Amino acid sequence: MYIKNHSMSALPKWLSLYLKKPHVHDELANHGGDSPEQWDTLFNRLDSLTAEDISSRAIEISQLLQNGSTNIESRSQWHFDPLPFMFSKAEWTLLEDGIKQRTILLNKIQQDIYGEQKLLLDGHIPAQKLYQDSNYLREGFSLPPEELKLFFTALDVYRTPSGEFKVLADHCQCPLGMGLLVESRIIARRIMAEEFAECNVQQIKGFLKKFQEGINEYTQYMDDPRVVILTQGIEDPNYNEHAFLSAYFGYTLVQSADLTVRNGEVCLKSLQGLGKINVIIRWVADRFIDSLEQTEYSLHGIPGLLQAVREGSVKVLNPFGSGVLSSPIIQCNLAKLSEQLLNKPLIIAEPNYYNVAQAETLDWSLLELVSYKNKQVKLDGEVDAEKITLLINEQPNDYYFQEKPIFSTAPFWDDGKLIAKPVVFRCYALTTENGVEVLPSALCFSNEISNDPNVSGWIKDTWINTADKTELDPLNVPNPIKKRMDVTLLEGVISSRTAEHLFWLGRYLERCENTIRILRIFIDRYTELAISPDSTRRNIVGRFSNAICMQHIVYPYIEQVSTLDDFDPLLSKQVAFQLLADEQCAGSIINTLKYLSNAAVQTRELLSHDSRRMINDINVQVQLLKNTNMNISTRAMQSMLDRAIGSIMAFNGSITDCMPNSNGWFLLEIGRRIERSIQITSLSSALLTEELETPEEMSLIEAVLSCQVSLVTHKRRYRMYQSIGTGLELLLLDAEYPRSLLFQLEQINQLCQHLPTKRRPGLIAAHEKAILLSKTTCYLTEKDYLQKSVEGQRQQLIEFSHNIRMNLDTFCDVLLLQYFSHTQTANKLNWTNIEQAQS
Amino acid sequence: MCQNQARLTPKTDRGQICHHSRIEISPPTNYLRQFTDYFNNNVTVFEIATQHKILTVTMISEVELLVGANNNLNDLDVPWDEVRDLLAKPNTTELLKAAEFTLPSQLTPLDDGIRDYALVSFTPETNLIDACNHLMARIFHGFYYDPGFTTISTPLSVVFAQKRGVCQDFAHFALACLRSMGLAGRYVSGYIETMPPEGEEKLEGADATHAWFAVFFPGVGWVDFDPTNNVLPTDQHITLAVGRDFSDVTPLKGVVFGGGSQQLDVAVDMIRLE
Repeated sequence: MYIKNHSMSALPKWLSLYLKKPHVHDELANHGGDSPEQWDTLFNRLDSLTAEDISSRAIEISQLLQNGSTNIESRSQWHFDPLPFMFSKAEWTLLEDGIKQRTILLNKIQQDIYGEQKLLLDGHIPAQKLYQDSNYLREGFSLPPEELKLFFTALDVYRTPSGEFKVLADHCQCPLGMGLLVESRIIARRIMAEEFAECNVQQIKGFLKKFQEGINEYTQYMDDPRVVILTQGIEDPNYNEHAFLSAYFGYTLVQSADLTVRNGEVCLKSLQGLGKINVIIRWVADRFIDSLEQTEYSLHGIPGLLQAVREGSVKVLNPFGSGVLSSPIIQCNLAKLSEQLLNKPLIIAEPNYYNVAQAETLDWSLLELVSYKNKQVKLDGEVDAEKITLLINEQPNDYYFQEKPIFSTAPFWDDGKLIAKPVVFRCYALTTENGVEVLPSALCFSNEISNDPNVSGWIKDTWINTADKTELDPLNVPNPIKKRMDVTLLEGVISSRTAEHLFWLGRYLERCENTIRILRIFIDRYTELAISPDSTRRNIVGRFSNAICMQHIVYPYIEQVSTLDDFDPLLSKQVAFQLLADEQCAGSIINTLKYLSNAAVQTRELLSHDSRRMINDINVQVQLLKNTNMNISTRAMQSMLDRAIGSIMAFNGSITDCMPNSNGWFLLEIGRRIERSIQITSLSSALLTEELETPEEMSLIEAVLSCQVSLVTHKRRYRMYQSIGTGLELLLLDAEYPRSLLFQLEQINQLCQHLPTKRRPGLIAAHEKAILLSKTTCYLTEKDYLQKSVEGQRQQLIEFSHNIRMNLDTFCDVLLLQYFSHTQTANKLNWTNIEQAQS
Repeated sequence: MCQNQARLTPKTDRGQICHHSRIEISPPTNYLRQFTDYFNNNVTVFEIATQHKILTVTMISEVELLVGANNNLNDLDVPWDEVRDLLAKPNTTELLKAAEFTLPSQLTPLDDGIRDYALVSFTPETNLIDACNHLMARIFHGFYYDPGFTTISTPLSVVFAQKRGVCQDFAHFALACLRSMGLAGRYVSGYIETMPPEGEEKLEGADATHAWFAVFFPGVGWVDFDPTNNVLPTDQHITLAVGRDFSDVTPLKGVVFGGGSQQLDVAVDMIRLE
């Protein structure tokens, strides 16, 4: 009762306005004990803040929170509230005891269901209903019992009007939200550093450390343990959280296709070949985890995984089979099961439930109908009464009634004021050798969240007050579990898939930069043409325009000489706009930015916080580009290009210093160099192979040099005499010049040293041969040879470019086959159409 | 490169003893293990790492058939409705395990039509054995054996409506009937011996894979019924695996990496050793 001991006039206006509102039952206004000290400490710090101050905090938060949006297409965002939720120590102790008790109980039930089944025999769990539950997994019975113990679980708790806590749901398979919780805590500590210190908030680090120790337990005697986090991929609405946890704990993020089972061992397909995996932290439901053994086929299954678990060669967390614990048939019997297994009532229980017969005499408006068979079915006793009558008349045994939860509300900051939103707390527990550990915080979220990933939800950090400072976890240095020196040298392996995405990330970064430069030059030249229209200028614009339209100098870099045919200067702006924002045009900037962002999301766990912010910024730009049309002014186009190149430069900068090559980052660099080599050859073969009048030729080489940011160097180096030949020499043949083709080839050659090789020393691999051949060609070629033309065509330049291009393509093909190829597609063997008994 | 699970090792149960069994696989496996599944079937897991065009799995087993197992069945005086009531409230481990087989499965969904069909055989207080025999005979006489009419994915309703199919469909149909009565029925996959016409030599590979159903008799165990031949199996049927329906007992499951289309052929030889 916050109002009881406070005079409204002493409170800041934004707070008193909220408290004065009528509340059904609000955490701040009605709950939290008679003298909620935990809220007092918070508001004592906050009462000097104005509504504007809090709003600006809210804005800062929205910029910092990254787990919110998943990808460009889905615009889902979590609203992270600038006010934390406060629990007193007494309240939390009660919850903590309840969570521990419940976790122990669930573990016992799991052991029994996949073991002796005494609970079924005694009728404590209705066997027939359990047998029909799709989460009762018969495969579990052939696995070693220690593979079925719970590890990391969560439960959703809410408060009833009478102040009791009740459980809304248990999450025993893939307890989502811990990544979000950790991230929001990091942000909360930044935004509310002083309040955080003052409120004596319990830290969550200790729990996270234990989480990691729990995993290390399985790997402590291994030399090079490999732990992976298994995600469904970027289509999973929670992909960002998986990536966040992967980065936070330093475990490799993988998808099913990255893993394969060989000899009863799970292996990761990495650049180095197949590497054994020791622990899989799965974010894929256990019903769909093995597409060989399980009947329900899934794309996310790993054929043979269960056999590996059976062999004990891999540890899967959370263990197989735990999904059944969240089934209605277990949930609605938990109170009874607690009496049976623990000889104690549940400290925090489910809402009361009644079977169909019992509910006949009750007031349905307070109840909802739940189906044993389908967890998704929940019908409101008041609104859906007719439907319910119909259903229970048909199959009375398939349903039960449950008290409708009446959630408490908590204040959320919305548009300059506090509003009341119903809240649920997701709490996390870890089952260890030494008992159950509870995370001393919770993800406080408004249950207005729907399953629709596009609908946003509201979350709060939850602060647990400690009575005195000494209880706070001292900042301790983790004890190294292993004393071996070489462990420090081990870095995470990356999957071939991630390696491939890094390669493409490099290519898209370079492609984007290059396309933007070309477009800038093009815009510059056609605006100049409008001011002083002469034939040389007209021809330059014409050649560029055609080279862009015919995709000779932009992706897919079709090898052809660009001509002046069918050029209409009036269409220049349209060409420019298409290259900028037309999604139909393969190499347009908007498309390249999209691919770039996608590749970055796929490697998200390797990116730093700042790099990810740049990607968010790129996503915003993609949206802006989508909303533009042909009426955009040239000036606006130019400023969009400036912003895009700014983001790319910033992204490049943010990754330069933190790229350990052992993580596969050299592939990004290879991708970048390959793309640049292709650009240089395509520019020269499309625009410089036709012999033209000197002024036109010189304008053209200047434009090409500008595209490659080499104009100044060219002028300085060839002060006395400039020609197509000198331009080509600088762009193609100078091994010392960082933007030349030969320089790129030398770099690629160097970078290839990082690729694992299976060749004997002394022999070089096919991709290296391709590069060597190109390099040698460049070294042996003279500028005069390239410049020479026969009947107006520089045939030798065309051939030179073509050969280089072929070698580059070969290089990419070999890379794909040797290093990126995921195992071949898996086909299921079909036992059909077999002749059965003839008799 | 392929990974497989085979359920080809004969079971040992009240009708037969598997004395020994060995599996031969070509090309050679690089991984081979056995485990026992939820329904107590023997499962062989194997993996072949080399490229291959042909995979041959040969299972050689010596099985003793206990032909006397069903001798006293007809003396059993157990009304089917009593069995149904027992299964509804299982109070022993045996009944609890059997009760699972009273439930519809993916390939044996229940509907009112099937229930009505079954009720003709399962009249009140009829002996379980008589009712089951009656049901088996009706399927044998009422359904037309028509290879090629159905596939694995043909729904049971089509089999029922058209009254045609193969042994697998008849077994599934019988199971749906039993389960709609609240009785426990399980699917049996196995082999059947075939007899050459009078005076002719038996051909190699002429015996066949087969499927039938079994009914749970309290105190006795699982009793087999073969609706395709209208007999209680005695000395011509060998059981490989049991389950709720075909999907639990698939003789050979596998995942093949790469390659094109596949074709599966099966041949069975049964040789009497007495």
